[in-house]
Amino acid sequence: MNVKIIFLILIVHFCSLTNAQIISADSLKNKAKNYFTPFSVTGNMGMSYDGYGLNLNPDGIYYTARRPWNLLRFTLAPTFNFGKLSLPFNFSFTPTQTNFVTPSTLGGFGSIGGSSQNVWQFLTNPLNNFGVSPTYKWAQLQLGTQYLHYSDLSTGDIGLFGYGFALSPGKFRIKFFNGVSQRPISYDASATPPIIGAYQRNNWMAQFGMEEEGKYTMNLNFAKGKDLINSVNPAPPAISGVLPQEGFTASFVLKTIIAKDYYFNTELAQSIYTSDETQAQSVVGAKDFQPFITSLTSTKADKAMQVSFGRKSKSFDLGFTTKYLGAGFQTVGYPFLQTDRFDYTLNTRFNAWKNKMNVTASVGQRINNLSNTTLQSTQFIGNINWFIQFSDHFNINTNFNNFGFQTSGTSSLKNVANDISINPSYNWSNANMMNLITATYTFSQYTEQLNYGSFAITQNNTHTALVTYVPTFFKKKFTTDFTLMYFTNKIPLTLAPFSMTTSLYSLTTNLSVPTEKNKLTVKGQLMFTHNQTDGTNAGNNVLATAGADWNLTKKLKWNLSLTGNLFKYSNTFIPPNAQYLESTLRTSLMYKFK
Amino acid sequence: MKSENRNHIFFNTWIKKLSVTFFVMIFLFQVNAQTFTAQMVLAARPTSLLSDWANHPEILNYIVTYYGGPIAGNYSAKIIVTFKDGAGNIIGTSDLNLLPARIFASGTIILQSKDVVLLQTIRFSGNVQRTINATGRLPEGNYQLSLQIVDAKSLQKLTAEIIRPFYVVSFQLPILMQPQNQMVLMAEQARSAITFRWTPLAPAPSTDRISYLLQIFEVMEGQNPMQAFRSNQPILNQQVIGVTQFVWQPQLYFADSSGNRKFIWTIQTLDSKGFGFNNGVGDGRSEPFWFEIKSAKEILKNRNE
Repeated sequence: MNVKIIFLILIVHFCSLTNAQIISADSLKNKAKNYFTPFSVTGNMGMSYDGYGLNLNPDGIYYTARRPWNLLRFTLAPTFNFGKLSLPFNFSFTPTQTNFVTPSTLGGFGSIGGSSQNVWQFLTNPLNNFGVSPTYKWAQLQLGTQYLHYSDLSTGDIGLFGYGFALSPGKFRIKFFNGVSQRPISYDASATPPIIGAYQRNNWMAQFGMEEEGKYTMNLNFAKGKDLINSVNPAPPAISGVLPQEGFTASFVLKTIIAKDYYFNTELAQSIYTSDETQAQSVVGAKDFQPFITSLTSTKADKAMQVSFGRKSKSFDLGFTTKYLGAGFQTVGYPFLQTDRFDYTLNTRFNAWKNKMNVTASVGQRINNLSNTTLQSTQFIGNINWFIQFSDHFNINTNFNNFGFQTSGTSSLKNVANDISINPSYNWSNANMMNLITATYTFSQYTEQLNYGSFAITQNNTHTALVTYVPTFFKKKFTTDFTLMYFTNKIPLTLAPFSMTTSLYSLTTNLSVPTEKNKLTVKGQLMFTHNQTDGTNAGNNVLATAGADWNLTKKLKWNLSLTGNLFKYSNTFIPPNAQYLESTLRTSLMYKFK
Repeated sequence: MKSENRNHIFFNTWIKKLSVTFFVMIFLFQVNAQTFTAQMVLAARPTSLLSDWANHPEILNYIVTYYGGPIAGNYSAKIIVTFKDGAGNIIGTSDLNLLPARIFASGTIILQSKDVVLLQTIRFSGNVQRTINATGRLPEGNYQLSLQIVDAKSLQKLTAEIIRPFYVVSFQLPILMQPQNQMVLMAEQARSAITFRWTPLAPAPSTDRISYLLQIFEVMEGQNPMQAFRSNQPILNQQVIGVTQFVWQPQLYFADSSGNRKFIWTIQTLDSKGFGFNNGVGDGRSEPFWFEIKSAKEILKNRNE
């Protein structure tokens, strides 16, 4: 109910903004007359709708829906400019909860039970943005949803709903933000399966620094996150692994140009993280860092650092990058960061032959588990991309990647991937048309080796060949292209016939036809794919799309596309004669202010 | 003669005194020994994250019986916890000054790790303490846990030391390999098949049969990849068993100007019960990577620029 009220308010607000634009147009006319710039509006606003349908014939569970049935999204992103004061809005929201990685009040997909979200849960849902950032000269007020990147090791990955500011007077940089990064959802045992829930996580972050553009950046960053134990009732059970947590990270960043074309960047960070706030205060463990965090028995404190230096110029780059993340390093600003590793990479880029040849390459290694809390593993990563423009008509791009992974110990593993790809392109033209033909061949070998038990070595080979032809007619407005693709993947099996080969043959064509004055462009795509397993039919797939881009006015644009995806299984599939039809309707109406 | 008698009487008196003292001591010892009995059941492979032991009642059960009757009343005792390495060398033990006394009433009680392994009172030796302070974990290896009840005041041993071995191993979640983070894929090729690869869970679990869930999320217009990851329904949620590669046939329209342009993917490692393999932390999801789909024409244009 409350969500509906919010929608009504937002729609009224949406309408008032349309009026604001009219005022803006009038203001601009006055501006021309009076040489006075009091007001203007830029940005856009609109709405989009995604509809999804799935028909299985016969009924069954051999294919499952992969989109929400209906998804309506609103976008409201105008920027109001009053001379030196700007007021950018960033509203993007939907009433439909589609949360999967973070919990939903409705439970997971297919859950029974649950409840709708309340106003606070709607506002703090990471699905929605409600941000306003009024800016005057060097001062910015940050309100509502903000995605702020302070540094690579402190905070920068997650969105917060709250308030803060960013000040940049002269060389000084001062930033602060306080908000909520995780909405509260209570444990609900009555739902099937039960909704585990989540604690509300409050965060604050601060930055103090100095910067001279093109010369140096130096700042201190602080990021704190704390789960509120009383924010949910009932709380998630401890055995679920959802525990109230608290973390504090401090980092120092220095980026500097040490000489012409030479740079040196570094960040040093220390984190203190408590994985369970309900545990006892620590006496002998990690130390407190008052007044920011109190050490408990579940508290760990570890370090991280990254350093990069090198030369960067127009035609030649050479750089070295290294990163160390201690096993106990954990920061609330990057909740999915994988730690306990040491990486180093040497990378280069250079242009030659008057920029007709471009090479980028990197080689590096990652060592996991320096803390010895598990078995050590190493990864080797190397890749090179070589592009040569032989003439205006012909070029070749070649790419090679190598990735190796190996663990130590009695149950060790080894994985090695080698991929090579060659991609020539050739174009020619006559008085009526230009032709572009581009081809790609990729060979990929992936080896998995167990150095224990069965000592099995699995070698997985993939070949991909692709040809695309794009004719462009100078006197005709339509554009089209044709693609033919062959893909085959062979994997060994332990039982007879000891290998399985999967092949795809695919043919695709696109057509785009603009009408007079380019107001309406009608477009379509047809793709047919034939699947084979060990040389026998494994199913056929037809993907057909029709759509239109319509410029209703200079500022108002309407997009529409309807896609049908029919997959018919082979006769060996159970149930027999099975097929599914997916239909996707995507439409959007977008108004551009300027 | 008198002297012999005196010696004999003196000898007999001492023998009697010694005997009485001996029997009294034996009696007292037996009374104490019989006051408490204990048994310990310890999981063979508990989590290496020591603070997480408190949240898992199945890790440790310490069954204590106090035989004190109504006359003896409640008994104040301490439970000394000692961690030893595989060779039996002590690497950590309870600090008796910090260890609180526990009041035992007559009867049997089952204590769990949250009641017994009070981390705030255990001092580990130098290197182990440093590792635990930094990571919260015991290093991988063989260990022994010993428990013993002592009198809270006299520190007199009330039960024999019970020792159980256990093995600690931490797992490293898969690291995503391909498509690499922020990679650009050619639409003409990607619309037929995209190959996903990741490193296996390491080390390979010997007792638990694990599987992987490959999860791919579309980044919608106006979203950043992490926002899409945290809030969208996955367009693919595919279970993969036994291998670390999956060829995805997207069956999506990739030529659109707005939709199906950017995706973010991850691997969620599941244990044999279908729960996220959390290793004491998180829900088993690896650090996600995102990739972008562009037509051959767009890629060629970018190269020439």
